[in-house]
Amino acid sequence: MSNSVLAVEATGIAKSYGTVQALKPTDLRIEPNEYYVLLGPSGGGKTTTLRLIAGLVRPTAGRISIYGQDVTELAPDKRSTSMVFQSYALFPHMTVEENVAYGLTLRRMPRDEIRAEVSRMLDLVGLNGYDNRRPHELSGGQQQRVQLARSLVLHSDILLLDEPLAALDAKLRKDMCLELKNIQKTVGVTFVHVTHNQEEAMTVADRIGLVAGGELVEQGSPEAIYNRPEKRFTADFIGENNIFDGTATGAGLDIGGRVLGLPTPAETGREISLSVRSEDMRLLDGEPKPEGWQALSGTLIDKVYLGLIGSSVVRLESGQDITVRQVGAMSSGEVGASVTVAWPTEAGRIHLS
Amino acid sequence: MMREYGNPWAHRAKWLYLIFVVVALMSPVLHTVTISFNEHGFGAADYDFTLVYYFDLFRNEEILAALGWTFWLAFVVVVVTLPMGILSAKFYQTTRWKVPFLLLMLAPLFIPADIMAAALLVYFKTLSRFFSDTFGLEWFDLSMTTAVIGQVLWCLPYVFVVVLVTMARYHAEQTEAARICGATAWRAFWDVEFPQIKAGVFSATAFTVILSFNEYTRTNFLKGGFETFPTYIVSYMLNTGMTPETYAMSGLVSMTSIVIVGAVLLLALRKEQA
Repeated sequence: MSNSVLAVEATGIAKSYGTVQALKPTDLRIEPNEYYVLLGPSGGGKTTTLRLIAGLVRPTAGRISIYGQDVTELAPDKRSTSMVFQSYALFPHMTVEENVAYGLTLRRMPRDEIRAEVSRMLDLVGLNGYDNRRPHELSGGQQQRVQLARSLVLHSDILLLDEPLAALDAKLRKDMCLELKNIQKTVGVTFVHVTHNQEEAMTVADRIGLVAGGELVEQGSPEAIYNRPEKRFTADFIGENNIFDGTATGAGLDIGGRVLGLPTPAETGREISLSVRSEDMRLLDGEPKPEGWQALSGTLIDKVYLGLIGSSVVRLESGQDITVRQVGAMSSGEVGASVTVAWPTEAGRIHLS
Repeated sequence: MMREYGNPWAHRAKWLYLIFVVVALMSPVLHTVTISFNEHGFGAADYDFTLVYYFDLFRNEEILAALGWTFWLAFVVVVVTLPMGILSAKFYQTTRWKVPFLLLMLAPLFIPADIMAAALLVYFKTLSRFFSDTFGLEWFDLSMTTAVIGQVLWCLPYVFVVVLVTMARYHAEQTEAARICGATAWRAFWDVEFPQIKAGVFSATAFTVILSFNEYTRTNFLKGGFETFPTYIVSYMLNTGMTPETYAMSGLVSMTSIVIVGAVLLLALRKEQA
């Protein structure tokens, strides 16, 4: 397939249920062989987007193309997509082999070819020898692998994953993330993955689309979305950021009495937000503020030790709570003590919306 | 299990009560069946076991004809009611108007049998006159058709509820998964959902057979040109009174029902253990 054709191209797709807009008119462009993640809070419209691509729901407006073919009017069985669901999607009355073979059986592929193909896929997902088990005899992780094999065996153009790891425990989820990423590189198929878990998204994605309030808020590589969020919402949702809202005064931001230095000047009088990552902030232990830094004083109200990092919460005089995270260290101050939080001016990011 | 700390006598008392209820409910039936095997009939001091009354039944052509009609009627009612019940249950799952639909589906259960039967009779009489006057058709003359309609109305709520209960345990994601694997809506239902609601469909079938087999009031009003086993027994009893043959007939009906219910329970139990 030529690179100029998009794997998924959605133009103005929208979905309403009565008066409720699950997805506002949205454009979505996903490149061939890309691992694209739709990330966002629950009820934000990401699953609706995925189900629109799959053909499980019909858009109330807009068109969807897969590799240049308009599929808007096609039922799910007529589209070159396959899907991994969160849970309960395996056929409990069939063995693992029958589950994986189901799609090929529908295509009337010869029996021995089906068997060969199924065992190749079970190999790929690491379930060699589980052919005759029933879904209920498998662990949650194994069940998701069977679903993955059942989807991969179809060699569809797009593989859709709807919260595939949400039912797994944290450790397993981490392992499965890396494995998903590897499998995607091996088979070279476009993956579209829905999750509300930020770490999962960052692990697997080539590109993340942040979906909330029925809108595609922002998209970009995990690195870009974490370090250079454009929207205030993104800064609030990704990572652990401290956000100051106020009015720009050119080189500074008026947050009601105090003026904070901005990394780059902003149009005077405009309502903007400044976000600073909690790991870019420091508590000053009596030492003077370094050159080119911003500082605010407040009261230490909470300290949490998390192993790799120590997290402190400081209540500013304005009443706003600021989180400061430091690797391998805890603030020496006692809870209740007066402290100063500081950050390099250039660590701030300006959000116009 | 909480029972491990419970009073063992409370548990045993529950069993005793259960057994008492079953015996109390079943004893008239068992009594009748016992009489049907006694050569001397009802009220005799002696008891000599015999099957002669049963053999007599199977030599009586009227009874054989009635049995044939009964089974044929039950078969047609099953064939008509099952798909209707499954469709209604599917519809119930997708409709937004669940409560009104449920009330509508269950309404036939709350109308007394004789009222329903009489209403249908009058209705069919009117329809029948209309169809014969206007089109020269005999569609709604009292016949197998009218009896089937009457019984379907009676059986549908049961089939609907039984199928709905099994369907509730089914996860709709599986239908979506099947569709995405390339199955049409019908294939997805047949390959994935149906095998999982089979037990419910099977129970519904058994239920319908028993309901149809034992139904008297509606059938008696709406049948045309034939007798079923229950209508035959009643008219026989009204004409001749209780004879050893009547006992044998009652015994036959009871035993058929018990055998069907027993078979369903056994199958369900075996499935549970598998």
